[in-house]
Amino acid sequence: MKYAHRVTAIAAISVALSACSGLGVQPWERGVLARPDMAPNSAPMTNALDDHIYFSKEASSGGRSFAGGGCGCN
Amino acid sequence: MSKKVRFTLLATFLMSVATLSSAADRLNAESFDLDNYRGKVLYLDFWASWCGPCRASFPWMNDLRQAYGEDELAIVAINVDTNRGQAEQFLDEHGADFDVVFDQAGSLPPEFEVMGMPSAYLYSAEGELLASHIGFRQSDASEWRHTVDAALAGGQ
Amino acid sequence: MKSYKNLSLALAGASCALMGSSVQAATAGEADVGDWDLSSAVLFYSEPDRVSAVEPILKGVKRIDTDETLTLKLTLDSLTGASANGALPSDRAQTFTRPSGNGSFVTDAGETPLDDTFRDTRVAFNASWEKPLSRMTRMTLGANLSSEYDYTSLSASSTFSTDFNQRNTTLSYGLSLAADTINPEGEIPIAFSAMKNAGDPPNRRTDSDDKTTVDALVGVTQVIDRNSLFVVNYGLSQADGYMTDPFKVLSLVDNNGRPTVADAQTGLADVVYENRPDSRTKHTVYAQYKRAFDANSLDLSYRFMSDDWGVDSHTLDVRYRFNRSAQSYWEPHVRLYQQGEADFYRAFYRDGEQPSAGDQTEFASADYRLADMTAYTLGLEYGRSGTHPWALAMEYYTQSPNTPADAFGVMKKQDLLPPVDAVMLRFKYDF
Repeated sequence: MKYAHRVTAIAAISVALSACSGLGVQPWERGVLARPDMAPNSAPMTNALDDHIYFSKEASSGGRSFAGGGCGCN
Repeated sequence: MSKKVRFTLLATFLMSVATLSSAADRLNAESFDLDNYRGKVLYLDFWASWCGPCRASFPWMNDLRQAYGEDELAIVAINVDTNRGQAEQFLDEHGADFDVVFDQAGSLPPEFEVMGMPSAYLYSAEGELLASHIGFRQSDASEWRHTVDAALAGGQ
Repeated sequence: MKSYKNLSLALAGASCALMGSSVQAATAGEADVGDWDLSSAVLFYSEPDRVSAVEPILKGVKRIDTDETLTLKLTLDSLTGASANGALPSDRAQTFTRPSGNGSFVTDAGETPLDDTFRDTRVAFNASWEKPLSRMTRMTLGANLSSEYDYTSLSASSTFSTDFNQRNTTLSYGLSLAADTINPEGEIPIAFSAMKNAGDPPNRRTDSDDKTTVDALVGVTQVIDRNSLFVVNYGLSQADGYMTDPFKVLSLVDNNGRPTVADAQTGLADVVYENRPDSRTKHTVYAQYKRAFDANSLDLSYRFMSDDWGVDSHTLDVRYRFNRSAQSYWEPHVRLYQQGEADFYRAFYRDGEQPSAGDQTEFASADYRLADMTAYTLGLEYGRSGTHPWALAMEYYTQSPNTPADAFGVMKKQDLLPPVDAVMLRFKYDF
C-alpha cells in the first residue's frame, strides 16, 4: 500500500514534468501570471493562520509547503 | 575647481537640458528600427510594469541618461505590457527620461530572443551587439554600468 | 554577427541572474531594494462554549536585492477555553481531575466532557532567507522556534527551486527537520492508567519526552498559458517520538453502555489515559490550479493525505477573487474536508477490556480529531489595495464527527460527538 502511494506520486510528477514541455508562455507574456493574486501562495499569512487552525482541529496537515514550527495542540 | 564640483555642475546642466528639451520620445513598435540609432551607442531595454526588477532598473537608466548626451548615447526602453494604461501609470510613477516604445503585441521581443524580463542589449555606434544582460540585480548594477561606460569610452 | 549575438546571450545567461519572469514574480506593492516590507495579521477564532484563540502575526521582509529576501516572522498564539477530553457524555454527572492534578471539574449529565483548563500561549519565531544560487536555481533556508508553556519546537528547512523550459516549469525540492520537547502540565500520564482523584498521587511519569520530524517535499509548478498554472506537490513526513495527547482519556463503560464511575463519593469518572504510536509516516499529494478570468481569479486546490495510522483525508479548497477594481476585491472561500478514522481510534473501552496501565504495545485514542469526520468552511474576504493594503475576512467552520459505529445501550441516547462550530475573523494590514 505504502509502495503504491510512492509509485503513484513519482509517476504523477514524471508525467507532469514530461507533459509540461509543450505548455507555457514567453518571458514577456507573464503580465497576468505576475499579478499578486495569481501567485501559487498568494496569501501566505492567511494560509499560515488557517493551516495552524486546521492542524490543531483535524488529523491532517501539510501538503502546500513545510508545516513549520510544531505545536503542542495536536 | 575640483573634479567633483565640475562633475556636479555638468550633471546639473545635463539634467536641466534633459528636462527642458524633454527629449524622451514615446513611440509605437512599428516605428522602431535599430538602424535609426546608428552613429551612437544604443542601450536597448525590454521591460514591463508587472516586472519587479524592471522597477529597480529605471532609476539606473535615468542615471545613465543624465551621464551622457543624446548625441553619444541613445536609451530605448521597449515596453511589453499588453495593457498600455498600466505601462503609462508605471512611467508616471517612476519617470523615464529616455525613449519608450510600446509593443503591446509583443512583436519585438522574439526578434531579440528575449529570455527574461528585463533584458538589456548594448550596441556600438556601428550597430554591433557589444553585450547583453538578463534581469536586474542591484548588486550587479555598478558592474553593468562599467560595461556601458567602457562602450562609450571605446567609441570615442 | 548572429552567432556573436547568440554567444553573448548564452554568456549572459550563464553569468547573470534572471529575475522577474519567475512565477512568483514581483508585485507592484513590494518594497524597493534595501527596504523592509512590514505586514501584520490577526486571527480571532471562537467556538461557542469551547476554545477561543487570538493569533497575531508580525512579518518583516527585507528586500536585499531584486531576487534576494530575508523574512522574519513573529507569531503569538493565545488559547483559552475548554476542549473535549475524549470521555463520553453520560446520563449522570461526571467528575474529572484537572491535568495539573489540583482540583477537579464536573460535567453535567448529557454534556460532552470538556477540560475547562485548556489555556496556552505560544510564541513562534520564523526566519527565512531566499537567494539565487544560479540563474535558474533559488535556495530558501528557514529556521523556526516555537515555544509554549509545555512544548518547545525547533526546526530548520532548506528548499531549492530550479526553473526549466523558459521558466515555465519549476521543480522544487526541500527537506525540513524538527525537534520537539514536551513537558506537560502535571507531567506525562502513564498509558492506560486510570485518572486519580484530585490530590491523590497521579499515575504520571516525571520526565519530559520528545519528537523528531523529517519532512521531504517535491513539487512541480507549471505555467499552462498566459492565464493559468498548476502545482503538484508530494510530501513525505516521518515523525518519531511522543505523539500522544497527554490530556486525552477514554471512558470505560459497563454492559449497559453507561460510563462507569471510579469513585462513587467524588463521582470521579472511570477513564484511562490514551496512548498513540510513537511513529507516524504521512504521504501527502497536493494539487493546485490557478486561473485568471479577466480581472478575477480562481484558486482551486485538492489535498490527499494518507498515513500509517490509517487516516486518509481529502481536502478541497476553492477561492474566487472578484477584483472589482484595482482598489478592492471580494473573495468567497469554500473548504471541504473529510477524514477516515485512525486504526486505533475508539470511543470507549468496555470495562475490563482496556489494556493494563503502562502497556506501550497497545494504542487507543478517543480524540474526535482522529475519528471519521467531515468539515466545511465558508468564508468571505474583502480587501483593499493602496499604500496600506488591508483585508478583512469572516469564516464559518463546522466539524461533524460521525457517531461511533459500536455505540450501544444507554450511550446511544447521548449526543456522543456533537458538531463543533467555530467562527473565524481575520484581519490583515500592510504597513
